[in-house]
Amino acid sequence: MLSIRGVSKSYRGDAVKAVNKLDLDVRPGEIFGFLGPNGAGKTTTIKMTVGLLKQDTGQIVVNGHDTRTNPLATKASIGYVPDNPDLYDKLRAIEYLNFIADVYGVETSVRQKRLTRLATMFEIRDALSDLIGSFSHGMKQKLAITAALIHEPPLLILDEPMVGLDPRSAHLFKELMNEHCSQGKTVFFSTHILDVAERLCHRVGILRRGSLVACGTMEDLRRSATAQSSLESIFLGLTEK
Amino acid sequence: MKSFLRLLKVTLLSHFHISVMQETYFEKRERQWEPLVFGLAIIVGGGSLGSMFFLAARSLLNALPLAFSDLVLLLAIVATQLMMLGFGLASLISLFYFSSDLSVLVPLPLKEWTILAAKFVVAAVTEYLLPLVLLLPVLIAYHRHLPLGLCGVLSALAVFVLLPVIPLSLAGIATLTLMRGIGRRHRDILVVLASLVLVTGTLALQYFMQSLAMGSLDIGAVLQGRVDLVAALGSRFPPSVWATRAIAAAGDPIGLANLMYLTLASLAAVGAFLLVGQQVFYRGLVGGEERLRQRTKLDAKALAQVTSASALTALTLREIRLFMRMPIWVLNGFLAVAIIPVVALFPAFAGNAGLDQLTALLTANPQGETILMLVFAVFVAGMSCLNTVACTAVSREGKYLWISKTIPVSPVSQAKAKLIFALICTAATGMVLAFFFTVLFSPSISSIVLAYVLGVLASIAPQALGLAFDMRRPFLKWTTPQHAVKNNLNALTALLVFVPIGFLSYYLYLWLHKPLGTLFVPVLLVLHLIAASVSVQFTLRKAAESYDRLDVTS
Repeated sequence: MLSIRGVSKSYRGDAVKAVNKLDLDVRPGEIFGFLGPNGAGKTTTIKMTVGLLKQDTGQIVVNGHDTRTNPLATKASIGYVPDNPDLYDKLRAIEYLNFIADVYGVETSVRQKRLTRLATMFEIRDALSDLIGSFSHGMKQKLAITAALIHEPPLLILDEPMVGLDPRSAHLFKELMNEHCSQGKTVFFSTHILDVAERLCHRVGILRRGSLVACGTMEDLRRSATAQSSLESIFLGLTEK
Repeated sequence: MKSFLRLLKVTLLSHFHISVMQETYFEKRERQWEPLVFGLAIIVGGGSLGSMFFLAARSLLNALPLAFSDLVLLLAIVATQLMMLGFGLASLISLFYFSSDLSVLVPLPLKEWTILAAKFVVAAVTEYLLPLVLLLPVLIAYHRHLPLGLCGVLSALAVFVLLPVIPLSLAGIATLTLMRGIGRRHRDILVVLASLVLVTGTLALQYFMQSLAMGSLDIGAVLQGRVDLVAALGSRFPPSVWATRAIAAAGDPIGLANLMYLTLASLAAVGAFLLVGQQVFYRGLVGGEERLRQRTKLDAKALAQVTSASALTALTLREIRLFMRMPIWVLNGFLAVAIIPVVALFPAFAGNAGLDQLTALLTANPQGETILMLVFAVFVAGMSCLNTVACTAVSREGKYLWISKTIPVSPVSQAKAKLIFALICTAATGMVLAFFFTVLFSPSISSIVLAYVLGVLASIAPQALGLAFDMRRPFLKWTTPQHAVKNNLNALTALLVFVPIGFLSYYLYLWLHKPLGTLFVPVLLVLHLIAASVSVQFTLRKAAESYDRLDVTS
């Protein structure tokens, strides 16, 4: 579903290497957790995948489409939630969702059904006719997730999705991720909450200074890290070197 | 005091984007042409204005008896302080209502006066541009007419430094009082109110000027009126008189006493501002942020009305909604459209004979109708290039650009939607102007329709090229909506393209109107149609490349 091959990205010429020859495969139907300390290159990788940044070298393929040669087909396959949900303050939530549904070409009857379900589930239905500017951070996050799911994308990419969500919404969201995967679709998300990654992800990848230092199931990681059982201790062991 | 100085340094660095400029121009070495263009604009604009004031002051000083020389100085000081009061009010409203840093500063262990004083100094730094352009040339003219001497120069320097303090303090007290009544949450209302006051003031001034122009007052009475006006202003605002006497009588005890009055009054004013601020600033700020959220429930019926549209329609609707719901953008774009025709109509309502003469002249001239059509087209196209709709379209996306970059819609469609919205604005502007032109000059319907089409067509090339430039080099790192259009040099690009096109059209008229006769306007129309078509094609062709270059890093 997502294939990253030899991707590198530098800032300020070559002074800051954010991502360094990254190779990664995310399979259909899996929840993949992308971990790493601050500045490891998680957000840069995500931004290159969704089209917000251009990679210097390498290839990113989403659902069979190369992000460079076929960006529109790539974008149509993705639902993206950024780390900071900056949504149009001067649009009403319903107008924003309708706009997103329009640009992804979601049929009227389908969007009504999905919109009602998601807005009810995240308890934002009563706020849909309000301006987004009046929303709290958590409500904006829920709206961004609703918008990302409205076209039921084959690949859902989320950058720190749990930040700002209340416990109930976080729980619902985790269930939604599982449901999404049970339909053969993929979830790729970055997080700092290791507990969530450990419980939810089929596989995790740990990024350090732009390079992948570990990747696999929890069992794979435990096997490779002797005497270290929790993801936290594996993470600390790999990233503190 | 230490914390004030530290805060002041940070506030100055942040407000004037000094750190951003350092990074952009010196570290990244990007957009290095900007300071050059900006510096050139300041030299050309400020220099022209300064020269104008210098020449006006010199003429007045030469024309008036020697005993009236101080009056010229007083007039310049009163005008500078009144402008400082107006601009200071706008500046402080912007600093207290629109600053995003207040939510960061308020929780810090800083006393109210520290934040207020830092903001005050930031406003004062900006204010010094006014006396540089307005007062300094007058002072130079005055010095050449009546040499000031060392004491006079030193006094003038002190007056120059003290001048913004009292107007800014008064503006500050007014702003803080306003904050108690109108919270930061309702700042859009404040912008609308302030703009209405500006429009009313402009109209009142225009009406006054029209009344004078009617010739109901003889020159002597007008001069007498002006002298009285200055005296009245001087007596109502004594600091202007103190400042004048401090310079004019420098070295004398009278001059020194007046400088002392001005200094004490300035200190008292800033003290009053800080005292009032200490009492009301945090209360106004916190009170303005409190809100009782009332949600309007979206019922099933409303949800059922959610319908689909094409991507292009959705994008155009988004452009319209985002622009029209931001009062500062609407006012910046369309205030001139509202004011200029109304101001132009005043002669008609004030019974100015000049308008009748102009209409008669146009009727008598065989080219009259053509000239009128061309003037109307210039108005429509010029107003459209002034409204900044197209040439800041990508810049206005700011931190929301990530949405446009991640949706599966081609940059060509996104550019098309922005151009369609710009055209809708031009079409609406043209209709408003057509109404006023029809009332003023009663042209034939066919002429006004043809001129309308010509105006709309002539506006397309500058707007398309303005959009192309904005797509290439958008100004995205704005902190307030005001900042997105007011501090954005891209806002001038459409106008910069329009000016040569306008001149070219004018010269075409001079060369071709005789051989072509009535065919001139249709020929011009075809030429603008070609220019519009080429520019739109160019902009759309460049859209993909420009969007691809835009990296969203934050």
